[in-house]
Amino acid sequence: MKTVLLIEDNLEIRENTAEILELAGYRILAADNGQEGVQLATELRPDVILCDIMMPQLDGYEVLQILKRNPATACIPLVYLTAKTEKSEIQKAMELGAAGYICKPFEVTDLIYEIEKSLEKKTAALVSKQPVWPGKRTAGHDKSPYKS
Amino acid sequence: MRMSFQKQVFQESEPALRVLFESATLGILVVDDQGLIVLANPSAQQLFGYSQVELAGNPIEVLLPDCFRFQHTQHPNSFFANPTRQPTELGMEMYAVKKGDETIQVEVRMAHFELDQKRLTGIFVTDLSHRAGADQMLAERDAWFKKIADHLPVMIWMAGPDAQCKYVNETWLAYTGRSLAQELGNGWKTLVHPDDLEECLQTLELSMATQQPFVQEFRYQRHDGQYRWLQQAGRVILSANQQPEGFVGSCTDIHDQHKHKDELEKQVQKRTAAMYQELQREQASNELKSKFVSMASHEFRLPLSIVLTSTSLIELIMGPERDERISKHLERIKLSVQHLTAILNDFLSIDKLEQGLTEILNDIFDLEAFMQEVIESVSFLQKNGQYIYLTYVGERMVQLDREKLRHILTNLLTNALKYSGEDRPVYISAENKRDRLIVSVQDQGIGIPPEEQPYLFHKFFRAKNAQQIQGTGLGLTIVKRCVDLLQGSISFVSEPGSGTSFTIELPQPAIS
Repeated sequence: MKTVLLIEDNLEIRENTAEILELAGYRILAADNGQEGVQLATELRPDVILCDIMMPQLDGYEVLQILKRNPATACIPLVYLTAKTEKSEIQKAMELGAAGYICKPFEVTDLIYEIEKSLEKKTAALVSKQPVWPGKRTAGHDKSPYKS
Repeated sequence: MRMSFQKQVFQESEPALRVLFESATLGILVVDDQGLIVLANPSAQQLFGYSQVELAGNPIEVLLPDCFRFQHTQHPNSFFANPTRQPTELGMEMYAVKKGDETIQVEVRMAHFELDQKRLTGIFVTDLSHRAGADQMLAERDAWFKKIADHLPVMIWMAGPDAQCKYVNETWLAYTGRSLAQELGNGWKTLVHPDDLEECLQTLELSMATQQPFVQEFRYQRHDGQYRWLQQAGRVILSANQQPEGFVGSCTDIHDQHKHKDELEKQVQKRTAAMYQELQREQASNELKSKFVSMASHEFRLPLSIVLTSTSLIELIMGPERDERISKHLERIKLSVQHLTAILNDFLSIDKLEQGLTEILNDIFDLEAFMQEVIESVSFLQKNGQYIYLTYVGERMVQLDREKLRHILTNLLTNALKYSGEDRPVYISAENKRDRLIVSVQDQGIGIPPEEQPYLFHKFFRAKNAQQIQGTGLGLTIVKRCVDLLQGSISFVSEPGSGTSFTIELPQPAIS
């Protein structure tokens, strides 16, 4: 079971998203601010992080910068989940090294798709560092896990 | 005796001399040492109105006015006291009397000669009566010009090449309240405002150097002591051999206009400042609006996210076996959230486009694949039996701003689907002509009433027949702004009940 760390300051969104992901078969860790998020990420090494941008204490950009500086957390893919929809914001996030970007309000299918895509990228990156065995395939994902 | 002497003179003369004497246009009289007329040529006879016979033997005084007669009788003696063969170099202007006592003005030159030990005097008479007429005419013309110059309502002046004044007219003198002598030479300079004198003289100097006409404004002291603005126009005058002789010019008092102009300028400055303030207020208000749009967008997205995630959770918790009515309402909630999100996106887009914050970011991509992607993204709006048909002609790779094109195509396709009913096809076609791209989106929907077509691209405009269909009235405004940004054009043909066809044409650089 993959672990998702959800860093989101809004209680309802945090709870709803966590519940949706739990129903989709993920283990959830939740933090309501950036600082706590960084701490949980460092201690528990989730498989993927879902992170808001506008948050008190540490914002989403700072969270990503801190995690990228730490070799232990640098490889954890981080997907932004944010109300910021401007192109410049998306560009800034991607330049900082975000694995994905989801604009609020979001569809469940888009959320799962972005999480799986970032996990797939992470696996591919790890595989490329090892000898490639013929026939070995990276983990795929189903865009809509609820249909199967 | 007189006749025999006349004969003798002619006998001594050459025939040519006689011809000369007879045909000369100058009046010639020959007088003896007693002042008696001996000979008169035909011109002299004609000039004085006497025949040769009438003149011969008469004293020369018969041809002089009474007041000169006495003086003149003294004159020949003094003249004969110092005789010379040369005619007097300077002619003597005097009055003479014709037969019938008409006085005429003549010029007289005299020369002495001796013939047979007789002292004779030749008197050469030129009629000046014509010249007197000419002089009078010139004098009249001078007076006429002076009258014009003095009465013109502009100040006229003339100066030498060194800017020394030679003449000013009466208007000038009336303006300054001074005499002509005070203005002549450097006198005129004393009334120029000290701050303007240097520039004034420099202008004259430059004009003399370049021989170009000039117009300048400077302050000059009027008779009441007030410095007033004059406008001066002048030019260099050239002599017959094209050498600069000096200046001629005129000045007009433009003080009141100047004052008026100053006031106008002040008013313009005041209004410009007011407009600038208004503009700043407008900018501040625009910034506030943008901030509001941005903030509202963010603040709306949170509750919308909660609504959408909660709806999704209800769906997930209830599972696929739920009541159809519940499914219908859950679907409605989701569609409404999508609609509200679309409105927010439109508001943000138009705000950015209006603020000019949108950049053009061209990249090279497969247009046909891109169009399929856009079609896919709007497919959720398709009604029953509503299909989108794509036709593509030409090279698939294009160089364009992908996101602007996405805005354009998404909006046009969304409208085509929204405003046409079930089973109505939507056609989208693209023709890549290398230097330009032509894309058209055609539907068989409700169409746009002709009287409302001119307002179609106006912000928030919605046609009467579209009021029942959800929309913000911003979609086509965004399309138009995007097309403008891409330096393209958009046109449409529409008929109510039959459908609408939009065509956009976008230039595109050749892909190397």
